[in-house]
Amino acid sequence: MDPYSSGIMFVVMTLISTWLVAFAYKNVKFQLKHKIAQRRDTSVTKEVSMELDSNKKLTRQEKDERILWKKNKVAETEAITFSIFYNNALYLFLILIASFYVLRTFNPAANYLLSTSLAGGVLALLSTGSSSS
Amino acid sequence: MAKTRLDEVTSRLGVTTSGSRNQSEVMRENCASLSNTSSLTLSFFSSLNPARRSQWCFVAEMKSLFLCVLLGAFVSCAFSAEGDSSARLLISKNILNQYVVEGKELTVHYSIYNVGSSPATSVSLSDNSFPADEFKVLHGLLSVKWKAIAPGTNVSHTIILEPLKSGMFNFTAAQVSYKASEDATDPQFALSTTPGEGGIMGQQEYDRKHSPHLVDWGLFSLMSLPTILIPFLVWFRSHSKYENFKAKRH
Amino acid sequence: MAGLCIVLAIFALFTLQNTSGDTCIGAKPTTEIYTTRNILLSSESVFIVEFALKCDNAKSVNLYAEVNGKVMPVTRSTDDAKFQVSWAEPHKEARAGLYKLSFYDDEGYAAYRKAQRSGTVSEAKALFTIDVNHPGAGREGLYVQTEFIAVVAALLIWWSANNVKSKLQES
Repeated sequence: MDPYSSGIMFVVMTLISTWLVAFAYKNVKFQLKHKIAQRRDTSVTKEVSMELDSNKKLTRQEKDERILWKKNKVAETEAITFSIFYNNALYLFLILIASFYVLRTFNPAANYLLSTSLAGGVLALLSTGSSSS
Repeated sequence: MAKTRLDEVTSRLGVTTSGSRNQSEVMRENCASLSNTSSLTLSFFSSLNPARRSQWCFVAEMKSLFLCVLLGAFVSCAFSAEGDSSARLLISKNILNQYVVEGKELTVHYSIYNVGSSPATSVSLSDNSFPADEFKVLHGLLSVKWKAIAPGTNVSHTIILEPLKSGMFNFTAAQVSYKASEDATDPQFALSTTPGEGGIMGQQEYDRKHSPHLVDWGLFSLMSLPTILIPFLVWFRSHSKYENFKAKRH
Repeated sequence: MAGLCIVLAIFALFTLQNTSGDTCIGAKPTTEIYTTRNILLSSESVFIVEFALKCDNAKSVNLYAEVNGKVMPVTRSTDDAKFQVSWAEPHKEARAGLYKLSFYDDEGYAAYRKAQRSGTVSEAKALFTIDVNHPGAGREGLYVQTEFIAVVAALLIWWSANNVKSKLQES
């Protein structure tokens, strides 16, 4: 393995797995966001109305808008961070199992190539699989 | 194929028991007739060889030792038919290592079995097959002697060496001299079995395969754990904040 | 014919043993001991006890070593300077712990054999003893492979993450 060709391999595989992992992030985030928004409904409403209590000038509609915006923001943050956490953990597990156990006998280059694509592929597949169910 | 097998066996027997030139000739003939009658034993014996020749692997050869003894028993029968009452030694030399590694212990085990009908006396074993610039003796003695080995008994000897270089090395035979009978004046000479050509693994390669790589794993976890921990902490802060909010309200 | 040969041989060995050998008085061995530690470097547990012997009466002796009821002749270096006892056992049978080697000269060995036949081994008096401590043979370093630990850790993290995820989704 000379540095030039393996460098190309690293770049290509990094791009492919970045795309696959980002795809999984998006899917899992999408699954979670709605549920989290429902969960946060009451507490965010409470928080925002407490904040706005002092400010009596706002109309009812403006207040509702603020609550909705805040709810969306909180759900978005939580869904994306949890999705990243979940997918990273799964990716780490998959790549370790693939490179050390499934592809143990392969030579380093093939092992790297296959384990990254396998882990990325399975990750993407799992993220779509559970969303449709 | 059968011819090469026979050659292998006879040459092996030749080295293990070679007394005077004449006797080993006789023995070869006996072996040739023997190989027809006990081809099962012989094929099993030679089937052990490919495994032994595998590059890094030296497997303990108690089985082949046993077979040596078995074959030796036939040979000694052939001799007693001649009406000769003397000692006959079979010597096996084995590398016990699963991996032979540069800078790590190499275990060499010698076993001497007296298949003759009288005790062998003044037995001395010396192994000059390990050049000083390639092997360092860590434990054990390279040239040793026993006062006597009774018929039907065996003695064993072990040494620990340290290979100083990696690469292929041809492990050859050790020499044994002994007096075949009480009144013998000339010593008999015999050679041990040869462990054969084997690779000595470089220390780096061995470590790559067998060390726990704690530093590498430490670095790996240092790089990979933040990608899990940071998102988790951000999520957990927001999560616990709003879950508590709900709890307080209730 | 062969039977006669064997009888003669045994007889010869015994006469050989009885005519030779002088007792070493006040034997003081200086030992160097090796036992197998790493199973990758030896397919059997090997014990090597090397020693030099100092006698008050400066006689050269023929020695026998006994360990766990097994007797073997002691090997000497060709220059008579050193003695060696070595034996090999399968890893499973070579338990870790202390092994006691008892050394006998020709006379002591005959007494030992006699005592063994009559079932009173303890009465045979050893010339001297050497204790061998075998710490046991195993793999070097960690008992499990590091990658196994890493995989299990990653699995645990993912498993708990999955638990939290399903909890989030069900509500």
